[in-house]
Amino acid sequence: MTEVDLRALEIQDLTVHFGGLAALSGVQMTVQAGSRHGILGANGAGKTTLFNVVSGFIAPTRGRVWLFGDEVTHLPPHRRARLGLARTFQITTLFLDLTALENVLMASLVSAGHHRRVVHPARHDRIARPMAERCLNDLGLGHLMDVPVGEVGYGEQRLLEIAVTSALAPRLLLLDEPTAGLSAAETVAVLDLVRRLPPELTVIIIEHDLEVLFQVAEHLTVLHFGEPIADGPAWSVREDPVVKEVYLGSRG
Amino acid sequence: MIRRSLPVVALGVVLAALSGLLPQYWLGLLTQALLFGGFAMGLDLLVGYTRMQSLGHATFFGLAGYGAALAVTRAALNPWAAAGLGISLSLLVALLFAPLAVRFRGLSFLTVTLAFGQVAWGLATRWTSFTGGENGIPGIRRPAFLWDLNDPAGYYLLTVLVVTAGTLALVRFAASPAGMSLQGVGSSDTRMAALGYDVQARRTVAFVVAALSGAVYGTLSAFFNRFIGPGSLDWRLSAQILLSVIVGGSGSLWGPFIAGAGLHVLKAGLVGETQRWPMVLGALYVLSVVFLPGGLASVPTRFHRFVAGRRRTSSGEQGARP
Amino acid sequence: MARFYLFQLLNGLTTGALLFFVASGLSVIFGLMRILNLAHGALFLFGGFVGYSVQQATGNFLAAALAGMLAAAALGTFIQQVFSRTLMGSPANQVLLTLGIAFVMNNALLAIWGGTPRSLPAPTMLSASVTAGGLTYPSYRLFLIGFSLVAGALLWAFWERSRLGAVVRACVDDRQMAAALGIRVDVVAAAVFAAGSALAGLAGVLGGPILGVSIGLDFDVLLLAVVIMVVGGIGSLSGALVASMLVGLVDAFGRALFPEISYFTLFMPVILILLIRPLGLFGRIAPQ
Repeated sequence: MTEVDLRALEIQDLTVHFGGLAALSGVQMTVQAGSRHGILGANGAGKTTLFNVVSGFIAPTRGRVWLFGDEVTHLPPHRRARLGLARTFQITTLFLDLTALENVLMASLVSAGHHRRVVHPARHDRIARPMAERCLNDLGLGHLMDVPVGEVGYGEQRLLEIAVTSALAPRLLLLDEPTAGLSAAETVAVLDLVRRLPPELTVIIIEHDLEVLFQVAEHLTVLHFGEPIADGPAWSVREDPVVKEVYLGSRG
Repeated sequence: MIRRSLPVVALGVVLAALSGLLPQYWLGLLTQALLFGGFAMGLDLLVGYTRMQSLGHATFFGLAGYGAALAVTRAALNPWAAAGLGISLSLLVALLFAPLAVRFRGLSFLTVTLAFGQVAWGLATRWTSFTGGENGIPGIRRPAFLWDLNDPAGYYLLTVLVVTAGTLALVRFAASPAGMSLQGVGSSDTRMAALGYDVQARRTVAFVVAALSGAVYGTLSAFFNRFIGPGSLDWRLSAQILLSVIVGGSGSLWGPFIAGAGLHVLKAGLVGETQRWPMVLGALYVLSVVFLPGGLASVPTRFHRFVAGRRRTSSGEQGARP
Repeated sequence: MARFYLFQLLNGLTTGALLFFVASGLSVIFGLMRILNLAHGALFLFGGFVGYSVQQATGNFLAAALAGMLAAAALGTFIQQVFSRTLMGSPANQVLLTLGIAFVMNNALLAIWGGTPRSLPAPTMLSASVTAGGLTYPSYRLFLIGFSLVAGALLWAFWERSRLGAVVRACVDDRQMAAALGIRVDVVAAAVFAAGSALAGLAGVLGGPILGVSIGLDFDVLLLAVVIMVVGGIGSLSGALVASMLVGLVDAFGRALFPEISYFTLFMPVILILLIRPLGLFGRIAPQ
């Protein structure tokens, strides 16, 4: 196995300009397969922009992106998902009119390869439905199965987003501020869930709260106004004087 | 699937039985009503499921009719072959236009479909030598079948057959993963793309399926009327079907069917009674959106809530929301 | 030959001028309130008919124009206030509501004024033709072109240079931000709706000498206004002006040169433009 295969994500010289604003400048990053990688930064630091470029929702002004050795820089989002990429969004993008089961089913149908079938009922798919039920039960959300997601509480919606992505059986998971807006108890639930994700799954988490990130991330990249100011093992980044100054000087 | 198919088949059987009971006028009315109902149901996949409002889908209804009409009257083709030709023509145009049209969202999509419809209408009205212009193409003769289709009851029965089959197919499709994916695209296309669905392709599918239902029922309509004219691709017909979907309750499938059929019957009844029928219809649209924003399909839910609320009050419970 | 082109050019600009009044109102209303008022064409026609009646009664064109404006503004405001909740609702329900109102109005106008096309003669001082360089052209039409340019300039001045215009622009660009800044967005919205409706009504009267006032014009104008709004760019006055003139010109030349396929010549470019610039020529807001 060559070294390239072990890199879940590689980013080179990534730059994104919106009009006159540089959201990201020259970002360089490598994420090893199976690692738990955190991205830290204040609001506006460019974290979500980074995710949007990696997942294909924004085209970079300059730079290149590789997923598991394949260059994906200009690939549309749905093709990247097929390569094993999954992500959650800061603003919940669940299907509010559909039940929790149906939400997860939408993903498990893709995993099962049945998502284009035109005759057999989706809700009774022999592979996708048990898969979806399992996903929900494993994450302790089984009681929400037939509840329309619009009626589910915010905290459980955030957990549900993670359930939906896990049904894709991804190789790389991007979590965009999974604990934002959650109570302390809900935050614990989410972090617990993240800790229980399969070890071979590569996870990248965005947070702006240092302490939350330290509980799950082994490796950290810190962004400040679109530029990386630190990148390394969590304990070393924590002690980095530049990070300390930027972070403790300007709590976001 | 049985749960969904049974009511449709049962209704089909009941409607078929009516062919021996109703007078000619009513059979004729019902025939056209069923065709519009079926068309509205097909359009619901685009409007209700995928949440794209099109003001141009009558184009496919009318194009199929014109295709069949020209084939039967000018090329002296067998009516069945002509029907097939008309549907294929309409479908082909849909397949060509759909990938372009679905790049637009919201108001732009509405405008583009309207513009496209106007182009077709303009051709139908101005290209007099080919399409008969404002006068359309009369003399479309009905095909031979297992029973006499020239008898109003006979054509009605054929219509019931086709609409029942079409509805069964549509309901099946809607419940399938492909159908459910259309709901996903309408609800959160970002999420769908992130899950690996090709959103533009899904939208194209919705557009074309709606167009296909228009083509099939449009062909039947042309043979029913034994005539096709620009009115069958007029934006006003597109609007009538679109409004049927919304009044019926977007996304419910059966609501649009009832509204599509019902509005036709209502309109036919009103036209004879008063010159003010467009005003009555317009007022109906306004009242329905103000007092029943979820459409006809929201009536059962509202009824349940009302009953549940009543029951709760009478048993003395408080607090819990319906 | 040159005379023919010049003639069509002026015809196109005249139509464009009228369409600008209609489309600009529609565009700003949509840009600000996300309301697609499909009854806008009916307001145009309502203004025209009211103007016609006033002109018949008083013989005064100016009075007719003012009456048409006020009538349309009043009716528009009435609609906006009574149906405000639905108008702020889903696009599908907006379509259902405003189209329903348009059908009611169309039939009501038919009931009141009848189906015979009415003529609204130009004011006497503009009823003659002007001759220049071998070309004879109605002075009223020239006036219309000039007036629309002046009105456009005034609107532009208001929009870009005045404080009130800045307030409206802020509401169009970012409604929530404007509200956060203390702007009474609902008042601005109501005022804009009234102003947009007034413009439509005015256009109905101004168009009288050229198009007449007849049932059917409401939907003809609505179709073109919607297209102009999307092509010019939502909420953009300059976009509305440019697109109106373009549509007017294409319509004039299309009718003159290719009457058989004039719908095609008009709408195909529309589709092409939108493919190249999905937000419209000058648009910054997504038309969703």
